[in-house]
Amino acid sequence: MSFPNVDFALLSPSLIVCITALLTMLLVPFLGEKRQVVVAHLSWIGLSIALFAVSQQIGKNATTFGGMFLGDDFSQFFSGIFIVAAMLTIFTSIDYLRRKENEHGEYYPLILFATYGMMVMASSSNLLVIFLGLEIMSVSLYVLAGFARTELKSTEAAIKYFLLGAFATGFTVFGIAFVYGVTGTFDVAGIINAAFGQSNVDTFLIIGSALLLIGFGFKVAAVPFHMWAPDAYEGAPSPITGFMSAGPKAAAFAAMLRIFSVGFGSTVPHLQTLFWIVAVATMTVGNIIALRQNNIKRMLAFSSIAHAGYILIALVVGTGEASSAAALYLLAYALTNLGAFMVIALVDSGAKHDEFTSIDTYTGLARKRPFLGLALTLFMLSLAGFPPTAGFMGKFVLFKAAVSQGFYVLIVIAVLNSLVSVFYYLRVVVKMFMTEPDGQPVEVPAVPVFLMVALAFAVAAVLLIGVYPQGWFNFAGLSILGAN
Amino acid sequence: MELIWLIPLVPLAGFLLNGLFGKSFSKPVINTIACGSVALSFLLSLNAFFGLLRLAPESRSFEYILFSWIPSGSLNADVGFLLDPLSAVMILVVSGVGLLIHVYSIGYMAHDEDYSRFFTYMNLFMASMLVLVLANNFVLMYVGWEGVGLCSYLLIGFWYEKRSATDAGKKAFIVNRIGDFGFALGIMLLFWTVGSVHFATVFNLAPQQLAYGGGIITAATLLLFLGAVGKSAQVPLYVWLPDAMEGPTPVSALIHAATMVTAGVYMVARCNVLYMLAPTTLLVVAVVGMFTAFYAATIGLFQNDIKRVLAYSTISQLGYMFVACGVAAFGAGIFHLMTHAFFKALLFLGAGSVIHAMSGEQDMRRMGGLKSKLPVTYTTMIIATLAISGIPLFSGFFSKDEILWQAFSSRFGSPLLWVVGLLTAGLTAFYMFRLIYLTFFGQRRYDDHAASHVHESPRVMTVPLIILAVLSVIGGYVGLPKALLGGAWFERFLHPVFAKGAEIGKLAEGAGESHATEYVLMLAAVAFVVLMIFTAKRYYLDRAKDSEQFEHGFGGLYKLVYNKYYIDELYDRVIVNPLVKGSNLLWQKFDVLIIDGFFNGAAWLAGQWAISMRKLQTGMVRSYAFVFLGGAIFVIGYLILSR
Amino acid sequence: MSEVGLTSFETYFPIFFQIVLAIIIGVLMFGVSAMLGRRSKSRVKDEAYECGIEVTTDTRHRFSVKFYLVAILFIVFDLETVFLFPWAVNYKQLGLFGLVEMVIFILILLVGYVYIVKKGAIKWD
Repeated sequence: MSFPNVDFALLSPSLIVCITALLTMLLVPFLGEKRQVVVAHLSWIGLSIALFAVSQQIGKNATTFGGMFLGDDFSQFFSGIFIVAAMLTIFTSIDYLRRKENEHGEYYPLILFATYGMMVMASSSNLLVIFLGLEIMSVSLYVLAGFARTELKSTEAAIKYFLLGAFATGFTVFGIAFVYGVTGTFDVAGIINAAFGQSNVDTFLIIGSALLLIGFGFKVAAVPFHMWAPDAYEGAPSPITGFMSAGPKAAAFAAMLRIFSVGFGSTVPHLQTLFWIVAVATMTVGNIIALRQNNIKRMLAFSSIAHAGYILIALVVGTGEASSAAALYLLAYALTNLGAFMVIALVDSGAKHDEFTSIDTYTGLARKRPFLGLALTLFMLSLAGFPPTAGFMGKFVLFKAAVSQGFYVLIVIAVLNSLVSVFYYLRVVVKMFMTEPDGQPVEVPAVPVFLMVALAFAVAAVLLIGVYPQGWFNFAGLSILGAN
Repeated sequence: MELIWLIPLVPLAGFLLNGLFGKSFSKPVINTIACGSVALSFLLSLNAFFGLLRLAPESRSFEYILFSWIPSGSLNADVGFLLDPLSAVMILVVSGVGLLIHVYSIGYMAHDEDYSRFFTYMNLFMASMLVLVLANNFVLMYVGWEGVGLCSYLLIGFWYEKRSATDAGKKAFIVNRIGDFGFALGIMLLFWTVGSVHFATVFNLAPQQLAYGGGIITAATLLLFLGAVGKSAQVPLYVWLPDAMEGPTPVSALIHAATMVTAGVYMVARCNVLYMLAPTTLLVVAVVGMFTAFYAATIGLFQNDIKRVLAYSTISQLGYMFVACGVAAFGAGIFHLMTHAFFKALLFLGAGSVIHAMSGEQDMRRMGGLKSKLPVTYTTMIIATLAISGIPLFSGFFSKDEILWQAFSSRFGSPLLWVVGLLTAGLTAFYMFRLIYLTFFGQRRYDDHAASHVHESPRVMTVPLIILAVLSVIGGYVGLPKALLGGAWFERFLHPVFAKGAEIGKLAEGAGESHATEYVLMLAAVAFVVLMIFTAKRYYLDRAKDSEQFEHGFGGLYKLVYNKYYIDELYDRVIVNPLVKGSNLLWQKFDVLIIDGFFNGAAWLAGQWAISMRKLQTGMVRSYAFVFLGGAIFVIGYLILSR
Repeated sequence: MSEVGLTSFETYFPIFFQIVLAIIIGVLMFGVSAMLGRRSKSRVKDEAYECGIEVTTDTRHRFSVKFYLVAILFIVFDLETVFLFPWAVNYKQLGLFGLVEMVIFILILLVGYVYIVKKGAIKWD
């Protein structure tokens, strides 16, 4: 057997991330306890090389490994999101871990492994490969969620996330098995070929797609598979919560767009209606419960559920325009949420344990630290969808794509939901600007250099996408055309 | 010329720098950023202007699209800038006069605690104003329009500890809202009927798509004009401008005299094609302008606050500009806009210098005899006063004469307009010289305490005065009319912008009465003005003791004018009070009971829902998995059963 | 393989049949022994090891976490051998390509091994 022809250039971004992860992991036990931060720096350097590699692969739209690995613009776009998310998370974490006295170098390779898994997920339309990526990502995340080993909440988060995640994984595998059983292939295109044109859709194919929907629905925290999210988000270390809401969510949606938007949407009847129901339930439940949260991380967990509901609109609509709108939305959401969690992590790191995560902590913050207050306000406005922020543009293009296909009721519900959400986002802003802290105000640490860079980047990106969306939208649009 | 997008951006950068870090900057740094950015804008504007001059007159229109801003279906608004003779003149005036006033402010605001905040707002104003005049579409213009309104509000209420200042700020903002509402409606109507907000497109399509003098174009132009009436303080929305004098004097000079208030004139001139399509609107513009000019001049006659006199004078002069627009002499309007910017900025800055010297005193009855104490201020203010009065050889003469001549001779003009214009010019000369005599001549009427502080302003304030004085003299010669052996270069430069409108209005170039008529009218105007100056001299200098008696001699008329025709009281009684009462009633009955009830009810319902849903979130993995399973069964069941 | 795609419930009938059969056998065995068997309850009967060493303490001991660590690590490296088997069987056909693949696989595992050794995960004190 000769060597198969492997396009290593196409693989280079994910290979770089993977190798960096392995090497840094190997390095961790060799470094002394005091020098664990070296791993962090090596990690972001590796990621930036990977980002460069991604930029070199844009426009190639090639495949390798016999079509199992897709290097199209869709995967490059999402790989870019993942890598940036990972880098921003690392920048946020360096000081956070030091302040929490939890400087264990394994943290960074775990982020890298998760990133690698996401990149694999977004770079294939082969169910088995997607599943591989999904598991590499998930297992790393389970550990990361419980990384604050001495915190009860963190351990609890990890256990819950793991148990329910394993439960959901069962559904995913089962779904893949059913689909394979019916069609004899793992490839989405092959699956459509096998199933398309059949007058009677096979029951097992329907069950298979339903199971896949459940499995991925868990990963994006769609109602009613969302129950893990609040506990996991609240308990996980703050930078990881930001990472979880940005990267894995985008990865799961990338896979869903590949599988459902292109694949099953047209073959399985009523799948669209089901997505409609799930989208509406997800955005409504997320927003309504978020109204009553007093912990900012938990509130953003429900907000993250609500945003998943909005993005599910793209799967209801199912057009290429909707997919690219979803891609833009995910980019905007990832940057905004990462930015918000930078501030949250900074505030949180003021205390050794996690007592600084309630919304009351933010009382009067903007008066003492106007820049932090303004930054968090910007992110909250972006989450609520005010112009001229990225969040507004994401919503705008997504809703526009849905309206152009005639989904008026859905968009009316979505807009009403956004209105509800304004309340709890602005609550934080009001706390920061308009209320005086009673008693001793919380001591927020000074902004360390790396966090400053990351924060500036997030602020600039959120504004840039908000003011100048066209270029980004074009890129996201190109990426979807490549996927078809 | 490709750099025009930098012109508004540089002050914006200054705004950001000073706004974010101003608190920690030292004064020289703030000065450098604030004045430097405006200076850079001015240099870029000069560069753009000369770039434009190098082109052939008919191709002097240059658009630069920075990026596509709102691409939404048929509504396409770019962040795009338009450089043509009209906007070139505007950016030069705005950035040039703005620069001088910025420099002046260094001295004037030197002792203010909120130094950086002042310059932050000023730079934001410059950026907004430059966006307004450079925009290549209505939407971006509206952004600038609202931006300058915001800055005006912020700067009027700059000394926010003063109740009257914040009230004045609010008044300006609220009155302007009425105008802005009309402006926005006008834009929407145009977009709805013509299908674009891009200037060039609208002006190209409107003559083809809209009937000449039809209802739509008349409505649209009237709505746009409503915006202009608000921003440029015309009757009946002028009431905010006198109160706006509560702001620092450089603000009054920059925003409420030289630049922002002229935005309405600029907008009407920019839309000249539309206005030429609607002769009814033109008539309204001319009448409103003329009425405002005369009306404000009469109020100015007997005011005692130095800045209020200037404020009413500004309203009156803006009326002149609208008269010019109303008789389709847009070039003359812009010409007067430019010269007015010079001499009115100078008058305000001079008044500021006087106030500065008098330690904050603004009442002219407690001044007098300052001529020798403030020589530079005195000299420059005399020049400005001669200019605004329309004395030959000074800039105001040429521009005002052009307007009067056009009001008389234009196809859209009438001798009646000329007569009222002439009367107004006389009144202007009277109250301006009254101001000069009361302030600089006669006996000292202030106490010894104030006297010990009287001093000429520092160099940083007087140099801008001198430069503006020079401009107030020579600024008029760029538009020397043909009758006076000039070439009317200014209007020829602007002509490409107004050519299409002129074509629609069938205005033949160079036609009209002979030069002889022009000379006669000119002489009549000058003679009347001189007469009025001597009247002022007689009652306020020669027989200064009798001046009070002279004023009261007008009896009821004096009282009426002195109290500004009781318009503020009338507005209060007829509009504000019923509104307040009505809204109080609405608030108590409708808002509290129905609206609040509805929203509180909805919020309560959502809250209850949230509580009950939160109960599902038990924290037990078992119940999570159970919900998960239920969802799974639903999903699978739904898909299978609905197949 | 696409003709397999046209499956319906019938194809899966043997599996279904096997499941039912398994259930029947299980129920049958328990049921028969319950019906036929004779029950006598005593203390000795309830003990953990009815016919072994006498119970001295409670069965619910707490074990050191190291047991779990070793157990889990054992499983990981045990599975490695499972992957080695098919390769060993097809060694000749896979040739150099197979060797390289396997080396990469083992290298990745080696990274993990070095990591746990350095971390002292299998050190017993």
